[in-house]
Amino acid sequence: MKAKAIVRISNTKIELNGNVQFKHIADGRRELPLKLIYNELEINYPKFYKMDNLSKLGFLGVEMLKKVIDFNSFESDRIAQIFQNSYSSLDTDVVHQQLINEEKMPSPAIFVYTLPNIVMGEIAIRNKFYGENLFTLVDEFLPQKWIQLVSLQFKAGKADAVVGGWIEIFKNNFDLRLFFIDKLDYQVGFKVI
Amino acid sequence: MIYIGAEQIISSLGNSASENFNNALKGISGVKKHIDCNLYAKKPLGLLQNFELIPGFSKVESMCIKSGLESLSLINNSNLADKWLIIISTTKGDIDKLKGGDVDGAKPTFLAKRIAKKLPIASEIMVVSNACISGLAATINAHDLVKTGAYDHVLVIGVDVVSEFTTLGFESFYALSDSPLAPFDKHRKGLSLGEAVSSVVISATKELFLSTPIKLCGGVTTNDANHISGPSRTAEGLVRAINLVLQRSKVEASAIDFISAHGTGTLFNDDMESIAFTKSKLDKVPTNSMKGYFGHTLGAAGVLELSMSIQSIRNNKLVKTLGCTTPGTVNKINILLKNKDIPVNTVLKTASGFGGCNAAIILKS
Repeated sequence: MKAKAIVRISNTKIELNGNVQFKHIADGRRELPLKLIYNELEINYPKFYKMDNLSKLGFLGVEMLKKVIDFNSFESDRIAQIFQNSYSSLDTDVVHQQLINEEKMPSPAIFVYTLPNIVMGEIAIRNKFYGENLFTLVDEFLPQKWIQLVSLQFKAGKADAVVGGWIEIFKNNFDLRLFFIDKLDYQVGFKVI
Repeated sequence: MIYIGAEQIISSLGNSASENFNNALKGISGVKKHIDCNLYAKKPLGLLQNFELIPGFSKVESMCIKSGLESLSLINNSNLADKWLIIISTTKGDIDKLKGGDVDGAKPTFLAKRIAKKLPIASEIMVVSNACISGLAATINAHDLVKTGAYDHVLVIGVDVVSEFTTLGFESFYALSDSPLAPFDKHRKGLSLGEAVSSVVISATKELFLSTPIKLCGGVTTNDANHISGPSRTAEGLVRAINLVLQRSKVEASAIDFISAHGTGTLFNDDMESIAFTKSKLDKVPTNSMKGYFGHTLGAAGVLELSMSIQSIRNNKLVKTLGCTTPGTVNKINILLKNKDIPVNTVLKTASGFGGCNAAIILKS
């Protein structure tokens, strides 16, 4: 039994449930294809342009999940978000720090993104997820450790589904491994490989 | 039942949980203007006084190691060999290192590993970074991890320091108050930043603790799904968190003796909380904000205010909302204007933060 849906967006691949997506924009790119993915998904969400790259990455991943998952079949406060990375919000932190180092006026529009959990706020706003949210920092993605946190949600009866996984971005290196797991997957026993 | 205790606090107000609590009872604030220091904005700040670094370690690391060691000295040392998890709760960790370009050193996981090496427990490490609810989110997950048997005990350490990074960031929001912090006051003008470390131990083993621990009934986090930097005008997320934690802990609203609120002193946050407590029928419950004593200590705040609430339960004393003289929020709630001696059996602790996150925890004597 696998997770109900998996999205992978990295420097070398864009996949939904193991199937390559948008092959023409994923092949061998070194820079972030976030805007290109946004265009491919044909969504109209002006707030996207205000987000930092961490939030854009998470936002787009969940938009891709929606091709195969109907979030409306879950109560809005029963979907939890559990994310991890190792670089926290440092990709945006360096931008804020740069303004300080150059004795320029810091920007509230940048500063607000100097927290890793903001991506969960953006996803919550877009999808009306009122449930649990947790952002943890670890050196590397160990699926079994992430699943331990996910399983707490189900064991404690706090959620019927969890969206989350690994969301790493620093400079031009990025790696999203996004999973959707519902209570049923959990009861059957799942793996996220 | 899950227990919480072995609380420790190092802040601008003192170097132990009891010293912090006693100084708060005396109405002392650690938040003041520091004319002699070249700290960026000339705003009141809650800075540690005469803090001695551990040689070879940064200030944040030293704070965490000292606090962690103190908490571990308050438990039965035969349990040090059990299965432990250390959770560091922080928003920015050692962010000062970024100024010189040391990105890897600024990673919170870097400091977490250095802290863990100096603590006498073989343990796994996790960092929780969930804005201003980090401390409560860490404690809630510690509770759930212990309850499901994943670990025997969890040491939660909440920490953040006043940095150029955060001070100038909050200043860009015009969120910092020029005058002394006045949470829930009619004339409140914003928040003040502070620095602190606070640690607690969470365990299912009551005998672990040298002093009688407090019952940790668990907690809830929610999201407003409304705005990333502004509190919800309807307080929807916080109301959900409070109602769910009451329901899951099987506690009636009428049984709450005391609310340790977030109370940052910004116009919108304090109004939002007054709406939430009214909607949850908690508007008559004695409520304080402790930000007037310490400033807003961000990733430390949740653990710090839980530690202070544990002290309230131990001493049956509530500390007033320092800085508030004329309560003035959109809904009238029962803000503590004087210290109060009452039996403190059931406590609700709440927090809210950027990203639209909210958290609520219940403690019982």
